[in-house]
Amino acid sequence: MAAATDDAGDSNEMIRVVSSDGEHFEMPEAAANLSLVLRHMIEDDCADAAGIPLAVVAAKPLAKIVDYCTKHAAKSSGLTIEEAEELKRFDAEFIEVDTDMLYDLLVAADFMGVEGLSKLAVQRTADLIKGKTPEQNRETFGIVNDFTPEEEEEICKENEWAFQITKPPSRLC
Amino acid sequence: KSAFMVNPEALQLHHLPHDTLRSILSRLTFRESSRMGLLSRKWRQLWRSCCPKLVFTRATMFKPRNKIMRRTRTKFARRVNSLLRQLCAPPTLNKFVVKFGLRRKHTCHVDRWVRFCSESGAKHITFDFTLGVKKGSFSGFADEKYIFPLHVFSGPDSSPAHIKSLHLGYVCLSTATTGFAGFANLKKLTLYKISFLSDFQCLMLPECTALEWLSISRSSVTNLTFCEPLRRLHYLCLHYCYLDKIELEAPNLTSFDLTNWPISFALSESLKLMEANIELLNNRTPYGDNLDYIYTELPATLPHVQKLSITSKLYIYDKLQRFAKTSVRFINLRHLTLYSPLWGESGSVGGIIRLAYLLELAPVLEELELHPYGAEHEHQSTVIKKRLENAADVNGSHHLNSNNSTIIQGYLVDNT
Repeated sequence: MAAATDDAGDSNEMIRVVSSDGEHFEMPEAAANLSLVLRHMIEDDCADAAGIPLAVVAAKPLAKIVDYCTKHAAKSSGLTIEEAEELKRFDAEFIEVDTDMLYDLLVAADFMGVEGLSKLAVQRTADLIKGKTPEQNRETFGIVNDFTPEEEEEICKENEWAFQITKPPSRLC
Repeated sequence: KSAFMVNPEALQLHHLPHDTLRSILSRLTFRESSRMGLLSRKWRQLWRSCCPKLVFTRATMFKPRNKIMRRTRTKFARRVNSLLRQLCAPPTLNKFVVKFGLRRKHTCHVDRWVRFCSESGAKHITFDFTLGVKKGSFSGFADEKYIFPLHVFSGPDSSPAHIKSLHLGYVCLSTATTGFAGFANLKKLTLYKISFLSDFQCLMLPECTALEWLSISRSSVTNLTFCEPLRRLHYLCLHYCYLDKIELEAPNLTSFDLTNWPISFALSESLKLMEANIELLNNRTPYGDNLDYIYTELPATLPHVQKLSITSKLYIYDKLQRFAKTSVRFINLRHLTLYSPLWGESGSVGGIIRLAYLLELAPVLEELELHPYGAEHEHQSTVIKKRLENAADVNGSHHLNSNNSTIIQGYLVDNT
């Protein structure tokens, strides 16, 4: 019986992590395993009661990531079509964040090695860029146009083709 | 959110790791990703080093629906040159695509782009100059095609290991150029309307043993012989190359697509070949159709095929047309589709009845589809689709179910 609890204990164990600003979070081991970095730490027996310190991840994005991993770990294998749909809806809602949070998630997911989240955030960023004029993109991402008027004129002239926003018909050639 | 309200301390898009920026940019179209390079000085610099792909086509370099082709070739070349100049040193690219109607007189431009492409380490490469060439079977004039410098991709004695796919259209390839070491990891090769300045088989295929997908169409190859087996090849397509000979050891080939006049070819080592589409061009004897070839050569060459489609004209002129029979069979053939436009005297039953032999040729056939008007006139054709019951007896012997045979003969006669 003791051996059996041991086994079960392994998969049910909660992993504690600590954000850069000192906040503690808990998630099931299966969820922590979605992060390459955490998985390696657990395998190397570095997960203890004090929690794994994540020096570059602040509490706000970490809370989101714990949320993401917990949801995805619970639904990782043998998904039905409905469950897959539900997970997709969760992802769509999950990534509806402002650009500040988006950058934090991109950096944190990259640092922690959470592949699914990295992909999700990268796609969200790309979707924000798509179909916009350079001016609209500057506004979305807070980019200051620091070209001199002369430089800008030259760039516009050199790259006149790139400014066509309308979608070209896909089969022209 | 206005640009001026951004906290300078806060994390910004351009602070993200280059790998992340690169994967963001790679999810955009080429135009969208290049526009990001026009936002600010910082972004211009970032785009130069993170730009994941370069796609130069009529659609990306010109306004949509630009019909005026006058002087566009020069304009196209100028725009590509200008963009490449802005990139300074080639970034590591995933994809490099040029699709436009360029010719040998544009060699000085294209040579530069090929060099750039080679230096960028692009994995997927397309140089397709078919635009502006007459459509259809016309394969073009060798002396107006750009000579593609394969040797640019090889180091002193190394083959370019990073190239995964290569698509070339309307160019000349020369084997005379020395210093080409093949493509060690090339998986997919497409050659369209290519002229070869010398024997093709010595060119690059012996050095392309990783090939999984090979398509050669409307190119001047007459003899396709491979010295080394292509062990990973699973798809082979040879269209309108007017080959006289094919010899190939491809043990893992699963799909074969051929449009050619009837020739003997050696593929019998390909035991996994599941599906084949064979279109036979007219053979050279007057009033001779390809039925003898279909009945003897094809089963000998493709004995294991399970799904076969044959397109070939059928000449009918005599009540007593004979045909060749041998002991070879399609031992696994289950689905057969025959596109055979009928020519000659429609009254000649004997000429058509020859088709009934198909049932003997394919003892385990389950489905036979006949298109007596050919593939192009599908709409007006009476498609004869018949599920065969019990086509072979339990032992799989060549016993011909006489009931099925009568049904097919009846269908054929009624529909002609």
